Amino acid sequence: MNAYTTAERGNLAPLRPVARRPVGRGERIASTVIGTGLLLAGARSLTRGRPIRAAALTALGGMLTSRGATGRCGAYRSLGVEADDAYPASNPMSRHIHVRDSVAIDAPSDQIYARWRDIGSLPRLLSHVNRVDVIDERRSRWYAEAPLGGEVSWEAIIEEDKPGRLISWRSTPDSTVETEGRVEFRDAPGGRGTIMLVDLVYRPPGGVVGAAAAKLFRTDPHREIRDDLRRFKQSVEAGEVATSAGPSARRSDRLSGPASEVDGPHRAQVSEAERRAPERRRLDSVEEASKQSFPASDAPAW
Amino acid sequence: MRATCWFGVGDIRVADVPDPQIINPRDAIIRVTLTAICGSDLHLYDGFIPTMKRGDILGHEFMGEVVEVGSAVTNLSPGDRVVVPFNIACGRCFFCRSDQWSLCDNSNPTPQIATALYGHSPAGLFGYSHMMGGYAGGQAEYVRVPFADVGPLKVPDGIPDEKVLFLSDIFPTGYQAAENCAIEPGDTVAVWGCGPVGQFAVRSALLLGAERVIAIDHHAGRLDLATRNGVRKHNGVVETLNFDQADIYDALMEMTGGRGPDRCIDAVGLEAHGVTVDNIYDRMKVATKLATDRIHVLRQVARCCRKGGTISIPGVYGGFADKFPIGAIFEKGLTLRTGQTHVHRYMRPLLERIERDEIDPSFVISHRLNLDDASDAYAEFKHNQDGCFKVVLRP
Repeated sequence: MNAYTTAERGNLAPLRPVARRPVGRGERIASTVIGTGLLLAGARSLTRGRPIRAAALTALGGMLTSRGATGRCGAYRSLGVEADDAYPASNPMSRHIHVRDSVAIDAPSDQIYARWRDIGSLPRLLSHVNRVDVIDERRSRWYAEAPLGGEVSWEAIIEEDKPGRLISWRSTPDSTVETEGRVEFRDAPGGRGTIMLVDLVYRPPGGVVGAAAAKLFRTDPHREIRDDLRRFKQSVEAGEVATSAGPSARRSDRLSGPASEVDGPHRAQVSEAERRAPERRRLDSVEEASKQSFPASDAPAW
Repeated sequence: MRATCWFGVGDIRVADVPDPQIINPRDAIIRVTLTAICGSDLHLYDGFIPTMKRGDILGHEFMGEVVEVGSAVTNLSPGDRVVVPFNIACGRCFFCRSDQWSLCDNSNPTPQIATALYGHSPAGLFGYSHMMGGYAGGQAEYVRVPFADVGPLKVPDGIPDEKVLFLSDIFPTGYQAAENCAIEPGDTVAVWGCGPVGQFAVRSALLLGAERVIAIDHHAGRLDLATRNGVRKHNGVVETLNFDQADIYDALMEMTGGRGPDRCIDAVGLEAHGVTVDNIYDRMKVATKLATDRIHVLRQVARCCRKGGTISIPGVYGGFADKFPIGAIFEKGLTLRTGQTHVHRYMRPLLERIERDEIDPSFVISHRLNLDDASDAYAEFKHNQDGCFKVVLRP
């Protein structure tokens, strides 16, 4: 996630404080120690004439050492994992999944707000949420995939509700999954619709982040939210979600076989062309292109 | 139905495939009556465009008859005769509403690769890889046309298919290239590349008031074509230059008293490599290299263009280029106008010109074949550049 400073974001107020580095202190020490050990083992392997093993050990050792030194981890980042100032670094709960994204939609902010305020229908907009039951004006019960299979559920309370501007919610203290969510709607400059910002935090039970991230979101959390917002924008603006489903995307084994063969008199011509083609293909195509000084306008020159 | 399908490098087959169906309310199904092979289809044939899958249906220049419409399409009815733009546009996003249809936000269902490459994804295209949306193309008997309330143009009976088919792509492409030049009275316009797009660029420049158009190529037949089958109602003259016989810079300077052409159109585009990416996308089947678009045409154009002039680039370019002539462009104060064609913008005005007999686009056609000949046609198009100019296929 990108922790924006106020300067970078211009006059957009930061949604939450700039986060600490996600790899906690104890973990950093462990990473550095183990990493150094692996680097030494790698060096030893090299002197014993085992270069592949040496390379593997050195690579892993290098990764772990740099992770320990900088406190940042690529694997964590791709899972949306980052540090959380709400917990001391030693607490495993201090790591969570944090996803943010924004999208510009050519529609008034009131209209978009109304769509998201209908909390019960959010599963249609957020693919990682299976179901939401609305209990009352502010409370709702959410259901999503659980880290180890099955379903996990939590109760959420709407904290802030500013029509046309902001909806924020938070799970109740007794929930198994601690979560906060926030959707903001800002008028785009020049009357060009609305800029919508989504901010979601999940602290899975027991701080077991990796598996939870993999299960809560079916894919990379950032990518999934990005796709969700893109589909939402399409449905608002174009009235439908673009799809290319149909014969083009099918697997080739669904095609009927023999129909693809040319019959009779054409066959000779095709084989002739095919006989010529493989020879041409053997030439490096880039070299071939280099020999041509200037092709015809919209086709390769060979 | 029968459809022209991509099965690998140099492997095009006409196969039996399932008919398309209405999926979204704004869809329509078109029965194709005439379709064409584009030069950019050869990039697919050569395997230079990543994200193709075996069985993908090709073709982005097509027209036909509406056979079925979705519930939200009220402007078309079964039986209507339409030409369909090669790009797909929703008509309601920021870009569509500002007449920039090839930049539609909402028509590419798989924008991730284009976004990674370019920062944002342009509109989806018919029959041109999954990176551009994975839509089935129009070299087939039937096509599913999304956003049919916005794209297809109704054409009146009485005008033959061959005259209006090229409203789908190459005529608007040549026309936008010329329009992007912002031609002023008395201008000299030089056009590099005399393939079909270049031919339409030459004629469009005349329609837009160029006094002198200089067509540049090395195929004698194409140069000759540029001077014939012209347009009515213009005062301009077309001259030609063969770069195998003359140094283009020297010749252009001599013809313009050392000033250079006022407007320059690069209708050559990237040379032979297609859209190339490095290993961003792991699953590509064709071996990829870190290749660059070869732009020596663009370098020559920048050198030849008059100071303060305009370079118009209808494309196609896909990747990155070495030795880009930024110095010439800056020091001479040149303007660059580029982009994929906003076909929706031009179809109606260009149809009117065709109806008024100002131009007959069918002059580009060199081969008239059946859909079932598609496999041979691709091979012919690739290996016989001189003889094979524009192929149309009838399903």
